Amino acid sequence: MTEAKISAYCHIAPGKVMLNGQLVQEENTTVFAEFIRLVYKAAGMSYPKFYKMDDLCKLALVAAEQLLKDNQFLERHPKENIGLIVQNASATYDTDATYQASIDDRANYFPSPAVFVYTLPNIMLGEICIKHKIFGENALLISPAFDAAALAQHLDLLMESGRITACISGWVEQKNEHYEAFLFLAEKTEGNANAAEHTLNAETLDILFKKHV
Amino acid sequence: MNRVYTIADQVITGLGTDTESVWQHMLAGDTGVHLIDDQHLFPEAFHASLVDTNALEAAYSNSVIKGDFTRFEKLCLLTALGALQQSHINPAAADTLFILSSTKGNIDLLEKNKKNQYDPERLFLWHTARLITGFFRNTNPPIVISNACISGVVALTTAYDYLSKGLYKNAVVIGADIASEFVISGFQSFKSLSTGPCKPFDLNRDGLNLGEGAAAIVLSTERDQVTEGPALEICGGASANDANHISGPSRTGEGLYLAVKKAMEVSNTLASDVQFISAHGTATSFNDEMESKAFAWAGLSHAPLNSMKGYFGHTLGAAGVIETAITLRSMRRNILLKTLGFAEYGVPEPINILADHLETETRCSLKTASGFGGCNAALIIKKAQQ
Amino acid sequence: MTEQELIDKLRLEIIQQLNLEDQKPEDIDPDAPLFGEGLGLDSIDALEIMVLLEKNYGIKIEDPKEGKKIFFSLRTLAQFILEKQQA
Repeated sequence: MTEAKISAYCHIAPGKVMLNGQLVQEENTTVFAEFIRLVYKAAGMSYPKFYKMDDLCKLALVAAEQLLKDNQFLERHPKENIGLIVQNASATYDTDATYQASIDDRANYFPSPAVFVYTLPNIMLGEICIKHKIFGENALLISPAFDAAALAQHLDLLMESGRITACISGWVEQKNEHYEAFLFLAEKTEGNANAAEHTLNAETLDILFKKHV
Repeated sequence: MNRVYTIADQVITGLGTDTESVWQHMLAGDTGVHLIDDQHLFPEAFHASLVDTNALEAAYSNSVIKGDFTRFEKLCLLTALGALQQSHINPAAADTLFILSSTKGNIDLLEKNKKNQYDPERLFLWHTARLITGFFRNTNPPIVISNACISGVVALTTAYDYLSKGLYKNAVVIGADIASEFVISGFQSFKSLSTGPCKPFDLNRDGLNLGEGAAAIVLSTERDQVTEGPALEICGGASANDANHISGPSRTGEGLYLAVKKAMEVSNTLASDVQFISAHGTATSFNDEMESKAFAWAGLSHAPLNSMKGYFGHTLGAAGVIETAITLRSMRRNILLKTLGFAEYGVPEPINILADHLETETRCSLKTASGFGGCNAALIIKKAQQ
Repeated sequence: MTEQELIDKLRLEIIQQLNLEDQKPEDIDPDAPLFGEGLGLDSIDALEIMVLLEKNYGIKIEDPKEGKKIFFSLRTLAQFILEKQQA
């Protein structure tokens, strides 16, 4: 196994944002549309494309921002060696339903390209890559639930192959008013990760994933 | 590092329900792309390649598969079964991994008249994957890649990663996507559908044809599982993002260039080694232009190149697997196929587009794909050393 | 409807159709380019404006390339619509 460490991790769950295990934001509303805008604003984001995104992409982008904003991660690695590998269960279910509704009635038939483009779950990887100019490996993995062992295995293989030296990875899931993101930064350590740091492996990912409030 | 050999494959497209039939039609220059006038799929007639339903149902009835499966599920099961039956690999073995690639799976189940007929979980690809492993009595968690049109290539590079490191001995990689009102109307809203049969890399190209299809490729680290020679190996691959736009390809081809460069690096391949490129070639103005830039940049202007989209359309999540299966046949039979629909050179950078079939020995091929979300992927396939 | 009235109507419709949430209607300069600089709209936005034209005004544009001239600014868009409506 290639030695890699988890240098930051973030959870977003209804009404809550946590960074590295600490609660950093809590809102009274859990209604996604309202909540995600509060998180966006609190993070000082100014990125008009945000409003065009579907809910899944908004969630992923905002979670990535938590990880990257006060961090030199992006400077430590060549941008083509940073991968985006994310697990998800429901793909773009909500957006699919919205798009289907725009074509269900032939008398009121206005298929929307702006909605259609978001009916692919990997777009959230693309949105993160675009905002942060990341050119590395992309993989959108579909799994019924967060699978720490499978993800750790997949990341290890990518790192071993040398195609990535770092990644933004985790679990981003959104369907109706259920939403949760567990996103982390991982980077190769060349075997000198200090004891205080989290090693990238299945057990650690499982522990960190469960660390939400 | 283990070598990863290709053992068997099965393809279903508008040209036939097995790889050999599809291949023979391609050799004959036939196309599965036709004018489709089906109000259910789209209010106006459009050009696409659909799998013949009667042929599909006949193949299904003649198979050992029994049960109430959707069109998408049948495509997955039939291709997987067809490929496995041409091999001696045990799909139920603990050292066999299943990988599924698709963009939208059972998306037609969202339609008004189908909505309440099926368990809602069937919409999810993790469910389809488990239906497949369940059928083959395989107890390993399947891997599911849903990464737009590069899914098929990523599924194959993932198989390589797992097998070359010895985590599994065998893999069954399945790619499938159906034609649906959902997808057809979506591409039409992007004004990216051609007004006729598509013309990859052609000066007068005006868009893509959607295609419906599936393929399964069986891989193994055991060379004596190879039944049909010469033995071919997948040698690794890579993916990369343009970081430019979610639907438009990069104007410079940077993402594809990076994916190709990395794929060559991990497989110890020089640009001059590449003797054939199975390009993405969807025949949209921007895609084909971008590919010419990326390939030229990567030093691949010399390599005979084709797009297969003129034969059976753009099969989305199935494309990478279908087109790799055909590439394998090209390499075994020493014939590279022409780019159906191409007549007049129409891309800015120099690439070597096959306008006619070419009888030649090919020891090293490159398969590429690009997709929505700015993603690109590349895979290297070589003849195994003696 | 006058050109100015149509421009004001289009301001709101475009903000809604293109999800330009943080944009105030009065801040859209009717003569500024919609694409590139100005509002910085992209190719998907151009397609969405075509959907808007069909949905709200019954005007169909088949070729996206035609759109480039028509969509130059809010004013050229308004003028195009008025022309089509008078035809």
